[in-house]
Amino acid sequence: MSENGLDAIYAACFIDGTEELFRTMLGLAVNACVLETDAPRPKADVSAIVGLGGTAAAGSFVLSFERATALRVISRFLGSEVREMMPDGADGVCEIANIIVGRALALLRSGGIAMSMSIPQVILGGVHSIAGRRDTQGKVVRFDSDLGPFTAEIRIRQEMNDGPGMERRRES
Amino acid sequence: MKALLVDDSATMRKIQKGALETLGFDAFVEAGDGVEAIQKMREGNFAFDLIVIDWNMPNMDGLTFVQKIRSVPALKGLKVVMVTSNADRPSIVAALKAGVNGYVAKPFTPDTFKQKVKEILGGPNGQGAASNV
Repeated sequence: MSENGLDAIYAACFIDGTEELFRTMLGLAVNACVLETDAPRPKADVSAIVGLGGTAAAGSFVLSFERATALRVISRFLGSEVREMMPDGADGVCEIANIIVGRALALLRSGGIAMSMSIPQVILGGVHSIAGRRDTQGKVVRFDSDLGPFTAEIRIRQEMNDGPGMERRRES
Repeated sequence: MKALLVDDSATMRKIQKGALETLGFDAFVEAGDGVEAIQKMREGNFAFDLIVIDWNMPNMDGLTFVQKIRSVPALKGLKVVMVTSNADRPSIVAALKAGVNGYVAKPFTPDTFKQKVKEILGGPNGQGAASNV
């Protein structure tokens, strides 16, 4: 997939979606940097995962923060201080991922690529790493902001058949 | 003023509530999907100044909810704004045909949301529902 740049096109849409959400709903500029495959990644102990499906491609989107950064981001998002990840912090991280993916899918759809998304889920606790399947191509993007760094990982596998992808759930 | 906030994300309902409070809303009822929203409407005797509804939710989505309430002649005057990531033109047209008074795409700024609500309520800066097409 990398040879024809499709994974870069997908990544660009998710970067745009992330930048737009932070700009509009948090009033915050973020700087995106695509990491080399073997580059060290910021630590993460909060990750929101959204599954992606479609007839052309399937994959996943993972948004990861350190806990302190996640709480700062959610507090800014809500306009009031959030001190704990459960339940407000986790719900907030899920909603941020939901909106980012929704916006990215709208951008992809305008380019003729129709995809669906799953309900976001969040992983909490401990420093963790997330690995993708070998048959997917991925981009890891580091975002730097005044609230701290965070990462987004987009993994895509081109589907080789015309069959249905995952059950469609339009972005909310 | 009283608003019914319908979204499966408690975070989004809280953001909307904060914005509406600055516009003078002082009573809120919340629901996580269209089925619960209809139940809350019955409990509240259908007396709401504004309904804010998401599109994609479990059990009953926002479009179906709007179609249901617009099929009841007595509820045709309820003001409804849809807040959703479905920002493509066919979705907007479908929502307007179903009977929403306004449409706000996520992500949105607080000012964008508040301006749309003002328009829908016919406030001093608003042009009414026709401006939302």
